[in-house]
Amino acid sequence: MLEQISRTVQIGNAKLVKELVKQALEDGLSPADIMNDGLIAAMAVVGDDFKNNRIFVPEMLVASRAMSQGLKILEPHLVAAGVKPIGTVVIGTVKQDLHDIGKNLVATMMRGVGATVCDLGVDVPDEIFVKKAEEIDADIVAISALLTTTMPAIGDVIKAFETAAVRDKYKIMIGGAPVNSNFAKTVGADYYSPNAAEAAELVREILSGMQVH
Amino acid sequence: MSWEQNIPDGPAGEAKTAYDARLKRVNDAIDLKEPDRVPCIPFYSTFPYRWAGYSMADVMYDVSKAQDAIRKYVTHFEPDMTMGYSSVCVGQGRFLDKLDPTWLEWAGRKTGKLGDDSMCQFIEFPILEDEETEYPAFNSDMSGWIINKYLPKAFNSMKALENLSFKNCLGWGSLSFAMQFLNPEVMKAFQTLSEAGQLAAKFYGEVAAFNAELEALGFPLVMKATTVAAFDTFSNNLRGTILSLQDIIAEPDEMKKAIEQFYPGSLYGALAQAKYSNGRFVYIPMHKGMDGFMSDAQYREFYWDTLKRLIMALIDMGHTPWIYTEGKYDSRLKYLTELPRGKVWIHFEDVDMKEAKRLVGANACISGGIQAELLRTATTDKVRDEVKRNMDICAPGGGYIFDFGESMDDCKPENVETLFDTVKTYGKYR
Repeated sequence: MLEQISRTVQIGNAKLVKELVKQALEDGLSPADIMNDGLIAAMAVVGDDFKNNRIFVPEMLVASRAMSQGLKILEPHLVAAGVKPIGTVVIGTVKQDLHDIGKNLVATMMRGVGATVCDLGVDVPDEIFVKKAEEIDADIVAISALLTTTMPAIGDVIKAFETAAVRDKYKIMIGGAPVNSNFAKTVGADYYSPNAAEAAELVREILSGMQVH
Repeated sequence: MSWEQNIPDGPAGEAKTAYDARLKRVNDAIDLKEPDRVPCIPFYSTFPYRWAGYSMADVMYDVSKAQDAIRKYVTHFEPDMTMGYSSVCVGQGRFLDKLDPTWLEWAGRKTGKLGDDSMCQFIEFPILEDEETEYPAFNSDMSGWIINKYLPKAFNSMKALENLSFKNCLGWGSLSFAMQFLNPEVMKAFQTLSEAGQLAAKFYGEVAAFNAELEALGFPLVMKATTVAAFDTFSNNLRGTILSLQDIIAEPDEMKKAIEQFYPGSLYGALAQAKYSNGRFVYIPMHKGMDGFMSDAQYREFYWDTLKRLIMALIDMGHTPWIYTEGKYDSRLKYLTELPRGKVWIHFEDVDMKEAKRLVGANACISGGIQAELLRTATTDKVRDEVKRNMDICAPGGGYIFDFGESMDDCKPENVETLFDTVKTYGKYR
């Protein structure tokens, strides 16, 4: 059954995934096993296929959608069983940047790898990133900017974490069309990702690393 | 009032000589010949206004300030072509206020979120939301769907069109059909469209007059028209990125039908604009075709098919498409080699320019591949070195126009001076 769930997530059949997760619960499988060996295992395969150019963003998106739909069915059972989400990401675009195509794509794919994503939306003031990350005890803060004129504001957000003396509590990752790894180093981000799929994969790796340690 | 009035005469005397030399330089590059030097046409969006001391809010609403900035920019830096002031919505503030779009924010908008110095920003959201009901509705009645669904969601001023129906207006049906227009909100929406039309005509008239002034100063115009790939029109405006990419897997047939419906508009819209412009190129900014977004087979089927038809039709009608790729494009280079030799200008934002020169440059004039971010952060020495490095790769043999990968916005003026100086000296072929 878990293998069937995994295969169905991989081909992106959201309707069937929902049915299979319901069936698995009825059959008495544990919510944690369904999540780890069915849904998350599927996204590990999908992530690997993407990394190796066997699939592209459309396949990633339908798989993420199927995974999210399955997770939605599973969530109350996970809470009841005391299973914690694999990790939490706070994401948003910097102040004065209203472009959210990339950010939405990243958030969708991060949810697809099982992360709980708190999407702050667009035009987010620096201090709101800090406030929300503290409030929900996030693991990762993901900051996006699309314009060369707004990308310097990424540095302001990171400074706000430093000013609040909480910088070390979070892994900070950044992205957006004009952003690159040099810029990430300049502003003191921990990670840079050039696209949504790699950002999601990065989140999976960071969060699984955290669990191990 | 005709928008064609008050157009100054074309260039004369020294300005004519400079105009002809600049145009020949660009034409030689397009023809894949070596001009006297590399043409220098960096795509500016907000830089000239910032440099001239104006905010974006100023130039969105006061075209005299926008014109002043561009006049100063072209006469000071002397690019080989100019795009006037009409890119990034400059001068369109009143027109936009009138229609009150939901998909755009701009500096100076009274109810807006942006500061006075921000460039306008496109807000993407899906308007065609429910694929099960709306795809069939759109594909069976595109015009009706646009009137009843798109316009009310895309413009706050058009909400009243939601229930407007043209289905029973034939013959004596016109009697009851006409009753719909008694609704004050419907009347207001049509009045607003009429007033927006007058503002659009005023905008085009001012642009045409100013473009002619720039030509009289000796600067040929880059753009004669702008159009967008059918996939991008559909994805940007109706379905949004995430849903349109999902549809490649989940709703391929319905989406292909929808994209096909936008193809004629992408061509005929460009032809209509081109008729009234002295510009050199039909500008095609490309948004969603980048590496990774689609597989090779998906790109060919959903993106390249209608785009290639558009490019070929424009070429057949004597126009030169300016294919402006956005994002990484390494895996798409092979598609661009399918275009006829010496008929297009292909711009790259982020690509291995050595490969682009080898594969695409053999057949087409190329530009780009150097980050505009340098102009904001780098020293003048670094800018000079990078511009030279880019020219070393792309300039040999001709078929190259200098431009950055992205447009120029927040730049150190001394870096802009350096880029022009470097292209004009180091870029000499003879």
